[in-house]
Amino acid sequence: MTEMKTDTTETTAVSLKLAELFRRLRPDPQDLVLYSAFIILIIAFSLLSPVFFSATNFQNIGRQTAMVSIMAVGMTFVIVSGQIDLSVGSIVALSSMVAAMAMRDVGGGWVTGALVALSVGALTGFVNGALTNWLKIPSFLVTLGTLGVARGIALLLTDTRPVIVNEPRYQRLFGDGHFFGIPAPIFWTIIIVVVGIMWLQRTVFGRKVYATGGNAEAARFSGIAVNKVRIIALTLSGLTAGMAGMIFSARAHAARPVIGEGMELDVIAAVILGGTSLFGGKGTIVGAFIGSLIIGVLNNGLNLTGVPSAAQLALKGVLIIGAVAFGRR
Amino acid sequence: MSRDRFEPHDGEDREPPALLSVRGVVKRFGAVTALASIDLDVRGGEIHALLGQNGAGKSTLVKVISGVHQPDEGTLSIDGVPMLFADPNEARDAGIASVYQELSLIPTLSVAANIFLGREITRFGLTDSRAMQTEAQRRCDELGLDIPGTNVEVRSLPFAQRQLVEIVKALSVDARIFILDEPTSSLSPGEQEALFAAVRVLRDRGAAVIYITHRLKEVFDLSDRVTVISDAEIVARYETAETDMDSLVAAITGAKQGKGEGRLRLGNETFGNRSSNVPVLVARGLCNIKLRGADLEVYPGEVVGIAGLRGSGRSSLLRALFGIDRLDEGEITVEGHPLRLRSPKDAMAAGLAFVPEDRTTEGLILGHGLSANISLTQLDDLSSCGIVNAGDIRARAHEAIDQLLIKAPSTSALMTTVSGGNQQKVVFAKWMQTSPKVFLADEPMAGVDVGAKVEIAAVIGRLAAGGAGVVVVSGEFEDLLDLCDRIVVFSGGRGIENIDPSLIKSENELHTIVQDLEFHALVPDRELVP
Repeated sequence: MTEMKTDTTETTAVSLKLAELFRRLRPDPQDLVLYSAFIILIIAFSLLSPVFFSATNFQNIGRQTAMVSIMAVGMTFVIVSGQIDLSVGSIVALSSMVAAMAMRDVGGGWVTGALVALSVGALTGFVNGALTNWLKIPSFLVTLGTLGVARGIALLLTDTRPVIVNEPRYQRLFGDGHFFGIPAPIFWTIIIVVVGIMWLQRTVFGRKVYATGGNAEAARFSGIAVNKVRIIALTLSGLTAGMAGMIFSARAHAARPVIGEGMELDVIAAVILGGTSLFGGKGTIVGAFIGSLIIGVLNNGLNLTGVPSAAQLALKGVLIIGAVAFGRR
Repeated sequence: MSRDRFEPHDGEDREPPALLSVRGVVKRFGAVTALASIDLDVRGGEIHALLGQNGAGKSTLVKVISGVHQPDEGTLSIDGVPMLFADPNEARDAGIASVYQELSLIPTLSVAANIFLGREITRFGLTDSRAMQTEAQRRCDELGLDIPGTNVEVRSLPFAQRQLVEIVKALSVDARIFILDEPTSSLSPGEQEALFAAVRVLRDRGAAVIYITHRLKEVFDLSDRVTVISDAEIVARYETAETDMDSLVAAITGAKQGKGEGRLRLGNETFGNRSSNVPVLVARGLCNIKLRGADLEVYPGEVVGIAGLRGSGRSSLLRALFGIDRLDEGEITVEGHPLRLRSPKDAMAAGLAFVPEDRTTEGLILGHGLSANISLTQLDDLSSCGIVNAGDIRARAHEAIDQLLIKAPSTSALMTTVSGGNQQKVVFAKWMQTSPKVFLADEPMAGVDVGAKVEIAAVIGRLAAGGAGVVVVSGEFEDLLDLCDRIVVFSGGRGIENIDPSLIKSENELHTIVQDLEFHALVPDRELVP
């Protein structure tokens, strides 16, 4: 490693280090486009807004993006296995609502909350997987259906009213607290991203996910139970959505039946931005994580630079299409 | 396009002018030179065979001619007019029609819609599907293609029939130059004859036909001239009437093999006979939609061939044995243990391996690398506590590359970048590494060149010598005669005759036997159906 000269600005020094780190992580030229886009965004917002480039703001971005980052991990399994999950936004609402009601009515504190949120998420994901693979309905349709069903149930539970979460430990563990000085949502994001990377990239199951998405027929002929792989992938996506629901209700001190609306699109955009093929068989969790950070940085930076929200929406769309088009060349 | 820059090249005295003329064509892919200054003339009214091993450059050359690739240097001319095709459409407009190895049909469209894709028959500005169906049916009949109807979706047809549709599609284009890239690799003998007849009609109409094949016999049956490509260069040109099999084999393999070694037989020391009198696999009374009481016994160390016409149940047998197709009745035992097969996974656990008919859709994950494909069957073996060991996976891949002489730039080379013969070796490798007791292979030699064929034959020999029972299905009866210790003739969904290949003198004799048996076998079956 060459030594950094003092005349380089702090910004470029950090981005150079990041670039080097990412190059070592995965030296695919296509991914470099993604990483450059990320770095260019950071540089651009740093120049445009005086408060953007600061530890406090980066923590903000991390907290705001945690839900999307966590769900992007599950979604990567789903998309790499050749499926899609449109229901994650609704699962966030359903799992956090049920968990909040369980903590209020059953007691048991954060343990109940966490168990219920994760179980509801995983169960909904499993139902997605079972319907997709046992009834042979495309995952697009099944999860489009559960998008409505899960949201509908979440709204019906309390007749659209929010449920207050009054469990200090739950709030600390998943929302307001810190682990080793790291805000809880960021801590959990890191844990889940690292577990996701190991699981998809290093395990037999991960290989089977790639094989199933790459060519399901050849995978089946190689002795892989492709249905099982696909069901587990959708279950994982539900599980991460349940986790995101916990993060939300812990931060907001309440569960609301309308949260997560449209969030599936941010999650899918993050995964695709990260270089995962929408047709399956190819993609990484690292990419999906960076993809979610790009979306987080965009949201945060556009807010800080005072772009009106309508324009933000349009600009975000343009940037996403642009980044993908550029990366795919 | 009418700029007349064509220079008639000196020295060569060609009576009939070339319809298609390729001059000094060079094509590079990165550091790899796929074509090094190729000259080729194809005349109107000739069938020009193009030979060479997989990876020699044949496919690249025809892709340059048909506009898929653009040459880095050199020119193409048609009737002396230099042409530069930016894409296949321009080549098609210039009168070049291609049948590729890889099917270019759209699976969800009907046969008729595929045949007329891009040049639909219209009536009042709307497509006239009835007229297209009638016309498509006429063209299928001309080629002797027997399909359930031209309004069926292509995806519902078996692989071989899809290829026939592809051929009908290409041949019904109004073109002057036809490129056929291994069109017969999955056709039955009758269909081959029909195809040959159609190709001859094209020639007699004055079309130029470029015919790529690995079957040397077809060269002599069909072609007027032959060009052999090896390592990106043209190494031999012959008038077909003035050459023989051995010279062609020598030219293709770069004279690595001597006379008479184009055949696959490797001698008895390689091809083991039964190493035990206890069968490793016994199948009794297998019945499903395609099989009607099929029996099979396979002994360790023997290579059993399954001969039969298409639809005889020869492929269905392997698919049923490997747990892909469901069985309604019948029992399968491996080393005496009865199997209950619900999926290929169960078959694999019982020690079976299966090389499927279509390596690109069933055997490989084309978008993944060599080591990823090979390791797919042994992930449990190459991992501890569910964590895969990347080093072991690479080591396995290196082992396979060395053992099977796979030509690939690296262990991570994508399967899309290696040739057909090498792809097939990867499929073999992924199963050999599982040390199977029974090795099933459906058309293992389809679409691979002479060199790879010999190597795959050696692999099959090695498997048998190692004590595995090998079952080979092939429509290539010559391969069966060369490879097998015993041939079972299939007809009407069951084995009807056991044949000792050493008693068969020629491929044609086996054909006659199979067709005879088929005829006799069909009669009682017809009576069964009221």
